[in-house]
Amino acid sequence: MIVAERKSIPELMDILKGHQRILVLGCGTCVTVCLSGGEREVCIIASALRMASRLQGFALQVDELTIERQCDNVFIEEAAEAIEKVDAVLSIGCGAGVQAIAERYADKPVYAGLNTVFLGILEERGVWSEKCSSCGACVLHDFGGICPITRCAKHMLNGPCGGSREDRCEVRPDIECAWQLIYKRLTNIGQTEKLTNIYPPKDWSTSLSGGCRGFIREDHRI
Amino acid sequence: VNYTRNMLAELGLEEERLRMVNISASMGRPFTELVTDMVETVRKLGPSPLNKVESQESKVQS
Repeated sequence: MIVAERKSIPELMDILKGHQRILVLGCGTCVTVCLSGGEREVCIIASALRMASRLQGFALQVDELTIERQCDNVFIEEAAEAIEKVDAVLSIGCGAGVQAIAERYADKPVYAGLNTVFLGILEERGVWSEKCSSCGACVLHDFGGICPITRCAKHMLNGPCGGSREDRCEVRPDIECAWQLIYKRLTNIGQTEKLTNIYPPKDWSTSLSGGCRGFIREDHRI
Repeated sequence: VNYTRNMLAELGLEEERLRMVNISASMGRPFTELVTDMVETVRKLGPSPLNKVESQESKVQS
């Protein structure tokens, strides 16, 4: 899922400066699961903004709405009426959601209420970790399902670097060495011979180096 | 509770206004001490700044 975290209330107040009535717009998908931008967070952020504005001497009018997915035009349409009534939208969806709303409502200021941080998973209650860099050329099949690009601090394709201590990363001792994990995993599934392959330098042209990427399924186009 | 306390501080209220403690129903004395301490804390802080803002607004309206 896409993981995001809330901007601080002073930063949000600064972003919203000059507006009288705003809509806090939540998203019911990834950011709901990572407890940053769902219906509950819309209520919390809206209340906090109301209180903060009162303490600063004016009463910001804050409307609230959560749609199923901010990155999908079908659902974005449901927000039209609510967006019409306000000066600006504070989207607490991911960066894709904010941009989708801004594109759809071209004459309305749309601001990001969250910092989108990574693609990851829920490790345990309240703990998320990054697993994928969306590089556009997945190598997981060769590394036992553990991504060396994302999870090795040195992004090494021909690891290990030799710096890990007691299975911990040299750069970030709070995380496990990705190459130790790769070795253990390949041992468990009987594929250690894959470690004898020398990986060529990675082709980053599938990543962000050429600007934003697109994906087309011709068989689904109308 | 810590998350909410941090948010209160972020938006300009004193985080001491919110506290959560776990205490057994059989612990009468600690319970009264904690309640007394909380009351004292809030007394020292005075009325909520939000209440002050609201009362100023109602004066202006009247």
